[in-house]
Amino acid sequence: MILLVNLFYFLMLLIFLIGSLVIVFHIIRYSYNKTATALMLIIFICAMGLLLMLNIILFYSINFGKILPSM
Amino acid sequence: MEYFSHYHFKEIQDKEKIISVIHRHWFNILQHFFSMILLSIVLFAGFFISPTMVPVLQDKDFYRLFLFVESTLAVFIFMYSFILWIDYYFDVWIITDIRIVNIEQKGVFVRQVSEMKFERIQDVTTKVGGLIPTILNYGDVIIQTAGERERFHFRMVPDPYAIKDLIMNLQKTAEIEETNELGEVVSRKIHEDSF
Repeated sequence: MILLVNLFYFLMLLIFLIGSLVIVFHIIRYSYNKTATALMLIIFICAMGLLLMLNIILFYSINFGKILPSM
Repeated sequence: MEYFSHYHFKEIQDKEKIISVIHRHWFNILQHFFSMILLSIVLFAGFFISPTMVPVLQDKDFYRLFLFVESTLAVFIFMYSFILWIDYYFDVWIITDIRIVNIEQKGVFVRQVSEMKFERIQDVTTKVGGLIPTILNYGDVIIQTAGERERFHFRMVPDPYAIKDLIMNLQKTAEIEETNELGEVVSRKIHEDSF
C-alpha cells in the first residue's frame, strides 16, 4: 500500500515537473520583452521550487505506516 | 515609439517600428483569476480554522497529512494561475507602422500568429457592450479586410476607440503612400515611353 502511495506521488511530481517545464519553455520561447521574461522566470522558478520542495518535505514527513491502517 | 524599442517578436522586419502592443484589459485577467483567488482564500482559511474544528487533526501524523494536501493544492493553484497568466500575456496584438500582428495563445499548446497589412483593411468596427466595459472603457475592435471573410478580432482591449483611430490613421497613411508609389511608377512609365 505504501509503495502504491509512493508511486502515485511520484507520478504527481512528474506531472508537476512536466507542467513547469512547459511553462518555462513558453516564457523563454515566445516572450517579446526581455525584462518581462526575466521577471516571470524568477517569480515562477522561485515560487514553484519553494512550493515543490515544501511538498516533498511534507510528503516524506508523513508516517503512512501509522495513518493507512487507521483509515 | 521608443517605449516599445525593447519589444521584439520573431517575425519583425528590418526598419519596422512597433507603435503599440495591446493586451486584453486587466479586468479580463481579474475575472479569470477570481476563482483562483477564492480557492487561495479557502486554502489559507482552512490552514488556520481546520486544526481547531477537526479533532483528528490534533494527531501529529494526520496534521502532517493535512499540511501535505494543502501544499499540493497550493502547487495546483499556482501552476494553473501561471497558465492563465501565460494565456493572457502571450495573447497580444502588435501594431507596427506597416501591419498588425495578431498573436493568439490558447492555453499552453495552441498558438496562432497572423498578420494584416494596412492596405487590405476595409472596415474597422468598435464594440463596447455592458455596464462594466462602458465604465472601464474596454471592448472589441473588429477589422474587416476587402472582399474576403478574413477578419481580425481584438477581444476585450482597453480604449477600443483610440485603437480604432490609430488603425484608421495608419491605414490612411498607407493608402497615401501606396497612391504616391503608384503615381511614381506611372510617371516613370510615361517618361520612359516619351523618349
